[in-house]
Amino acid sequence: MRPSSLGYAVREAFRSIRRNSLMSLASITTVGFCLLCLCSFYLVSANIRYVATTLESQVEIRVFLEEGIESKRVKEIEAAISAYPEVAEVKYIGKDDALRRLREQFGQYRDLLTEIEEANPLPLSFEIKMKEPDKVTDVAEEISGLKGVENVSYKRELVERLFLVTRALRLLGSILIVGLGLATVVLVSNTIRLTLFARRKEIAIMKLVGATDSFIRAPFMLEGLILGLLGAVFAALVARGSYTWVAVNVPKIMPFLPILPCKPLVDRLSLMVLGVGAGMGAVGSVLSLRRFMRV
Amino acid sequence: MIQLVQVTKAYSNNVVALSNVDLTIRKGEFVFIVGPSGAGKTTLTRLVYREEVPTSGSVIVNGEDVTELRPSEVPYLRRNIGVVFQDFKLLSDRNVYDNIAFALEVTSTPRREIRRRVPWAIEAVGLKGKEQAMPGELSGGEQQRTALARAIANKPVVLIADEPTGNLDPVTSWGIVRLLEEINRWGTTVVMATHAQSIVNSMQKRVVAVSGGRIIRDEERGVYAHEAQFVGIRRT
Repeated sequence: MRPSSLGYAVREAFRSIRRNSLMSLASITTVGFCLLCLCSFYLVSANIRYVATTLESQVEIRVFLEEGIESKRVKEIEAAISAYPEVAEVKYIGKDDALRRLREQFGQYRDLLTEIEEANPLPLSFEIKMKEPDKVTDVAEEISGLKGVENVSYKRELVERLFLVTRALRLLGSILIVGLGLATVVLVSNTIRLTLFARRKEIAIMKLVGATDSFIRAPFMLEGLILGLLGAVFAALVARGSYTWVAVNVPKIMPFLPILPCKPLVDRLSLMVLGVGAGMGAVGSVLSLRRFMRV
Repeated sequence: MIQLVQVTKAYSNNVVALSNVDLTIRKGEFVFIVGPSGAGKTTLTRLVYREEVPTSGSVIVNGEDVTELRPSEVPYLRRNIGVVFQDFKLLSDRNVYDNIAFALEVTSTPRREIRRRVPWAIEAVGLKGKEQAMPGELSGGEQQRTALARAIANKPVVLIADEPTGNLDPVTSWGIVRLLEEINRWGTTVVMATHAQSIVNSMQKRVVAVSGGRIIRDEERGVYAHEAQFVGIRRT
């Protein structure tokens, strides 16, 4: 396409967006909200996956001991646990250690803990790091049978459940992407159809005087692409803004919840959304052109 | 220049618009196509700029069989053919200048060339001074002159006029026909489909009479009709 033709297409595309400003605005905002839904899904599932992998990397067993256990028995249990070849490291956590940890986790709300500080109800425990995380179930099982052990907990189950959740979210997300994508395409194609209808006389004359099909199509393609892109810009800006807020403020309120850092994530997301928006806009206008303009 | 060879055009509803038509129009000729409504005049002109494709037979324009053109080649055929209609087909939201420039712009004519050709076309049809007027502010004759300027701006080798005077009063009609004659004098082949008896009778040009989808008469220096010889469209 020659530069002058491109200039023509750009001029005409913007002119018809202006002319149909209400309909254009409607389709831009709807496209925007569709894409915003996609963004939220993406961000939520990316974070759940992050939580799951963080937890998996630190798969460990917590062994809580019975209240009032003799210190001799504590040593025996520690020795028994260390004897397992699958175990990498055993760490004893006394009552004071447990309280200090809890304080750290509570962050600015640590004042809530003063109640329990006098008579510390936290049990003695061991933290076990595994050499082979997949053996965790077997080892935990055996340890829970030891005398003096109150309770054994390990995060494997939680991790597995989280991965299940991300899988479900990803499936739901894919369905949503297809559904919302179709809605976007239909909307853009309707807007373009209106433009085509408004300009049918112009198109007839263009065909009559010998404008090529690609020349006639270009402004409409561009119009769809611009509508999709503007919707995507809207979605990307809102998603960036909200997530930046979340990434700054959620760790303050819930310091124990790992949150993906803002920077590489939102940039990747923005690029993706812009691409999807522009692509869907273009597809929408092509559909319209094929259905309503046989040239 | 234009040659129809054994052309038949039938529509899907069994209406035969043209049957076995043979017609040769030489370069630089001025030809009237006459006949009653529904005789096949419009179909005949539409075949030339390939708005229609014949059911059988071939249509040769400028040495090329246009029935065999691929869709992507059709625009380039049309750049060599100017067309005007009874209803002018002007864009009501653009002034005279922009209506003409539009046709050049959408065929990717360089801007410099557009600036040269539009004033030339406006002057040729006698609309100098009306460049900024909108179609709604023009008389019917002026609107048809604008359409003519648009048709000739590309310097076509063939000009097709499908009842160009159908909406105009007799005096204005004569102005348009004189203009077509002038354009023809420059070497452009002009084909005019018309009902205007008095114009055809006094112009003394070639007359091709169509009736019921067939050519019933073809005369140099002809007249509109010798007697009531036309019949309506044939249905099979």
